[in-house]
Amino acid sequence: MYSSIIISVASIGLAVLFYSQAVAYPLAANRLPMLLAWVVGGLATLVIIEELIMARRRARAVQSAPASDNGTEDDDEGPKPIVWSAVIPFGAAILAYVALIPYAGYVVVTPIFIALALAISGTLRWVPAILVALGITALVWAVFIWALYMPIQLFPAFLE
Amino acid sequence: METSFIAIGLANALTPTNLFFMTLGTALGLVVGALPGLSATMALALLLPLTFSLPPETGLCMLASLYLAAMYGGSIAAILLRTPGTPAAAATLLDGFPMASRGEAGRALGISLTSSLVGGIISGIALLTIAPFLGKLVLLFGPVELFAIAVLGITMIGTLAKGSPMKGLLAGALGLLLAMVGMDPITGTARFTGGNINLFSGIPFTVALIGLFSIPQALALAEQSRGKLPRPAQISDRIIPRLSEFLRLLPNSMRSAVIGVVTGLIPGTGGDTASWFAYNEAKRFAKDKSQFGKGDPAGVAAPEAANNAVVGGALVPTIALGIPGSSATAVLLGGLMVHGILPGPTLLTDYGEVTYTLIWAVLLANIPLFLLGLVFTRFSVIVMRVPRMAVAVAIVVMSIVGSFAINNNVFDVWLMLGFGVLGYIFERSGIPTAPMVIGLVLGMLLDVSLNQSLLIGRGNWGIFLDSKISLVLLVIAALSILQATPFFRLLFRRRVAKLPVPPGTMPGDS
Repeated sequence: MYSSIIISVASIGLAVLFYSQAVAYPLAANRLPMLLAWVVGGLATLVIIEELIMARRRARAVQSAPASDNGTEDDDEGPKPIVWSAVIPFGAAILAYVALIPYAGYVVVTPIFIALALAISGTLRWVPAILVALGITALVWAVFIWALYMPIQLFPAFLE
Repeated sequence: METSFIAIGLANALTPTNLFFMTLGTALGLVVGALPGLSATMALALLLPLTFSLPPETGLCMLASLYLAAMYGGSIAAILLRTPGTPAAAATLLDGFPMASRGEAGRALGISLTSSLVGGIISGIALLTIAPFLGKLVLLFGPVELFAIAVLGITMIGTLAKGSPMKGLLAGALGLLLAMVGMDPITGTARFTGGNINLFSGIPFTVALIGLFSIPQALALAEQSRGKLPRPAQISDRIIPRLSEFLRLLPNSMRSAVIGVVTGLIPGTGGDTASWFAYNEAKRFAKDKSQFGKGDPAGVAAPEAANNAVVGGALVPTIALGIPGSSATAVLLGGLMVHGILPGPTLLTDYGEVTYTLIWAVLLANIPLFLLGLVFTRFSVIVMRVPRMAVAVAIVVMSIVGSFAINNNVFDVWLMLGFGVLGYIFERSGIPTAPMVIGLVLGMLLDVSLNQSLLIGRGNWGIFLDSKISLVLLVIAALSILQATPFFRLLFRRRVAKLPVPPGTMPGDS
C-alpha cells in the first residue's frame, strides 16, 4: 500500500515539475505536456484515494474477522516481500559494475562481477563460478563487440 | 501494390539469412520460455540492440520467432516443473503437470507443441488477412482519428492491465508524460531535458524497455537464488502425439486458436488471458469435465493453442494502427522504430516490404518451432538446471552492454538502470509496466496528431467531436476510464443490489 502511495505522490511531484516547466514553452510544445500533467496528477490522486479506501476495508475486515482466523484465510495474496539481503548486495554490485566499466574496462570488470555474484551468493564454488564468468563474458563479447563492433571500453584506460 | 508487398514479404522471409535468424530466434525463445521467471518481453527487449546492425526485416524475423517460441517454451516448465515458464503458460500446468506426474510428460509436451503449431498457423493466417484489411481502412484516417485511436489504445491497455485499472492508467499516463522529454517535433523546443544534451532526442525507447523488463527480472531471480532448484519431471515417453489423438484434439485447438486471435486483438489483454479463456471453453465443451485438472490432454491443448494464437492477434493493431496491443508487441514495434520506421498507418504502405516480412515470419516461424521444439523438448531438462543467479548475472551483463550499444553512451546505461529500479518498484507495488511502455511508444504520435488536429481545427478542440470515428473512439475511451473509477463500481454495485436475487444464487448458497 505504502509503495503505491509513495509512487503516486512522486507522480504528482513529477506532474507539478513538468507543468511548471511547460508553462514557459510555446503553445504547440506545451499543450500535451500540460494536459498530461493534469491527467497524471488526477490519476495519482485517485490511486491514493483507492489505496486508502482499500486499507480501511482491510482494517475493517480484520476487526470483524473471528479471532480464531488469525488472518490465515486472507486470500489477498499481494506482492511477495522484498528479500533485501539479496537485492541490496546484488544491486550494489550492478552499480559498481557499471561505474567501473569506463575505467577498468569490460574484459576486466565483467568476469569479476559475475564470479563474485555467483560465488558470494553461494550459487557456485569459486572455480566453476570463474569458469561460468569467463564463458558469459566471452559470449557477450563475441556477440556485441566482435560481431556488432560495439566500441565499449575493453581494457583499463591506462592500457589503451 | 498490396499483392506485390505480400510476395516481396514472402520472398524476404524465405531468404537463407532470414531463415537462419528465424531458427536462431526460435532456439532462443525455447530456452527463455523454458526458464521459469523469464518472460518473452524481457528476451525481446534484451535482443533488440542485436537487431541494430541487422537489416530491419532480418531483426524482426528473429524477434517474431522468439516471441512465438517463448510461448511454447513456457509450457515446458509448466509441465515438467509445475511452474509456468511464462505467465501465458499458467493454465497449462493444471493438466500438464498431472500428466507428467503419471509418466506422460512426453505426451503432454507433444500435445502442447502440436497445439502451439495449430495456434501459430491460425494466428499467422489471421494476421495476414485481417491486418491488411484494417490497414486499408486506417488509410482513410487523418490526424484527428489517429489521436483518438492513440487515446483509446492507451486507455484500454491501462484499464485492462493486471491489478487496479487506476494504477494501469497512471502507468500509461506517466509513460506518455515521459515521452514528452526531448525536442518538440513541431517547434523544436527542448522540453524537460534539464539542459542534458543526452535527452534532447528524448528518452531512448529501447533503453527504457531493457530497464523496465530486464532489471526487475534479474533482481527477482537474485531473490530466488537462495532456494533450491525444483527437480523437473523426466520425459520417458514419446513426444510426437499419435495422429488419432492429434485429430481428436484438433477442434479444441482450432477453437482455442480463434479465442487466442480475438483476445490478442484487444489491446491490453495477452497470452495469459487467452489461455485461461480457452481453458474454460475447452472445459465447457468437454463431455467429461471431471478429468479437467487431473491431466486431461484437452486442458493442455486449449491454453497452448490460444497463447500462441495471441501473437498474430496482438500484432494486428500493432501493424494496422501502429498501436501495440501488449508490451511484447511494443518491443517488436521498437524493433521497427530503431530503424527509423515510425508506428502508424504507413507501416503497411511506405514500409510494406518490412512489415509483410514480419507478418510472414509469424507464419513461417512455426516450422522451425515445430522441428526445433521436437529436439529441444527432450533436452530442456538441462536448461532448467541452470542456477537462477547465473541467469540473473547474464541478464544484467546483456542489459548493460545492450543499452550501451544503442548510442555508445554510458548515460543510456544509467538511464536503463533508473528505469530498471522504477520497473522493480512498480512490480512490487502492483503497478503494471506494460501501459508505461505503450505510453512511451505512443507519446510522440499523440503529440504530433494533437497539434496537427488543432491546426486543422484552427485551435478548436471540438474538431475531435466533429469526426464520427473520432467521437466513437473517444466515447469508448471515456467509458473504459469511467468503468475503472471507484465511482462507476459503486454505482454498478448499487444497481445490482436493487435487483431481485433468485434463490440459490447468493454466495454460499451452493
